[in-house]
Amino acid sequence: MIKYSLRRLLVAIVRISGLAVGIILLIELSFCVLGDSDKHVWLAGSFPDSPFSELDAVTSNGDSSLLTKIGNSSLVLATAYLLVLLIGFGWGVLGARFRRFRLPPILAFLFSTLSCAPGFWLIIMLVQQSVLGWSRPGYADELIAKDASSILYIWHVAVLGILIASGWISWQILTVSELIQKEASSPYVQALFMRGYSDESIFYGNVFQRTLPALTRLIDKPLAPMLGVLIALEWAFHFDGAGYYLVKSALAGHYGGILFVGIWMGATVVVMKWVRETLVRMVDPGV
Amino acid sequence: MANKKRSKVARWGADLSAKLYQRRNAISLVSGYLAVFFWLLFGNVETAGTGESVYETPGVPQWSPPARGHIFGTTASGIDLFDISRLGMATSAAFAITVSALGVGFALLSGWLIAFTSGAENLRLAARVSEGFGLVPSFFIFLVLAAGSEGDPTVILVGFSILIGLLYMGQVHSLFEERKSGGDVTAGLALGMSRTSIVWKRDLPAVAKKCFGIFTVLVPLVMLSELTLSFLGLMGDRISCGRLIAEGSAVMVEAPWVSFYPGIMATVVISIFAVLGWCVSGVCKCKPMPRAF
Repeated sequence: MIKYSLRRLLVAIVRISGLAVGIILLIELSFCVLGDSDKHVWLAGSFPDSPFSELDAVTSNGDSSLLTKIGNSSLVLATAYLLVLLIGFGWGVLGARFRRFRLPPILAFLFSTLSCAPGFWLIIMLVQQSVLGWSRPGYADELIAKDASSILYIWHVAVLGILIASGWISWQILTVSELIQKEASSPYVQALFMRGYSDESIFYGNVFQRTLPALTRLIDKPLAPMLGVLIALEWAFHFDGAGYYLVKSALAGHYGGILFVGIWMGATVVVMKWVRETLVRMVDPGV
Repeated sequence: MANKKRSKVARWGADLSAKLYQRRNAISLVSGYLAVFFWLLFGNVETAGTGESVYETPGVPQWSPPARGHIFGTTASGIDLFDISRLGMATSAAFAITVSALGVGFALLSGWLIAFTSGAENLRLAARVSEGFGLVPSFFIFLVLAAGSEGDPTVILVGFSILIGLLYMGQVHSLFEERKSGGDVTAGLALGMSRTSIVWKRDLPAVAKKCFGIFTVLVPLVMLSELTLSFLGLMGDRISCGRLIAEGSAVMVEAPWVSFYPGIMATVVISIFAVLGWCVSGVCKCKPMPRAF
């Protein structure tokens, strides 16, 4: 088990290295080949010290270090990811358990509707309501919450976390329930029922346990799309995170910002993939 | 009373009715798509305006709140917000349909070519390429491509299509792979059909049907991506609800409707495309659901 995990860790390191090379190529392709920039990635002058001097200062964000920004974004991502895991998996299993009442689409309805609305628009509406309706600060940078324990900071993280999660909870509910329902339609389930097993013992003792490896394989699937949503929502909310920094870097043509945030995002997905591979091996040693 | 043979026209009419009845689900879904798309396309373009002039705020703003003549109100330059939001969503829908069709078509073509060669190594390679592109958020790649090319429409269209094709290549290949163990394929082989004939006559129609399901689920996702890039100001000066919301957010105190109504229009149109997409995906038996990007 440890040998397998270490071997996969080595693969993860290779993947991150490949990713870094891929991002460098993407920057060169986008800005120099397809765009008309003459700042090639291999030139030292393409990485200036103060890259945002030419960009209009939209907000007061930008004073904090890149590490702080990544920390802020990681907290938002962790909140969103936990919500997806808890609600998505929990309600997905519940939906499959009561499949005869066609529960999965009903449970996913609210989140599916939310996911059809552009997230950045929901943020703008929330800011509008906060300013005009509640007479409170609107954007995240209007009253900068320095202390991570402050209520305002928690509010900012929660707003972003809930909106990012809402899009993927419905996907998770439907996919989880679909996988379990597929297993529940196997012939052995009918055989168990004929032998007098109760619904609960068939579902939790057999169907759910047999679906566990397939369910574990799902845990890292929403992470990459969620990171994509994070970029846009942080920009819309003026939140001092890595996503905001990435958009600012892309608009200013600051390669360093794009590269580091890209590597952070890729590394997060790769590490989660490694965790998933290890967990799948634990629940299904035959892998 | 003697049996009377029906006329040729009557028989043809009866056959046609029966065929239409059999395909009632597909017809109702296609009609839904066409109805939404034509409603978007035949908006009032003259009053909607074009280009950067739409977003400009004159010295004396001419905006007006929603009223009988302008149900969504008007923008700072006095343009009807309903017409312009409708035009913006027509652009988004056209973009999403083109990109998704090209992307899924590219994935299908590559899967088909590999299925002809029948090489397991090629399939594994395709799955790895697809997996590799899934390691970074697709929106990150869209963002860098759009920012680098300064919103060049050709680059964005081609770049997005290729990326979507690469992302879904693995999934389409697995559909071809699943077909190999299917009963009809085994029967075809037993009857002496060639590999080419099986791929052409059996595999391709079945996989193409599922790809259509993937395409319809992708359309609302691509629309959301396009709106988000417009919101970030990376899609040039094309009219888009994303850009309207971004411009409206700057005047949310003076004219809150400017950012509110384009969002409502976007949500309604995307919801309709999403519901239609789910229905088509269900009809095409496109299970498990295609992964989001």
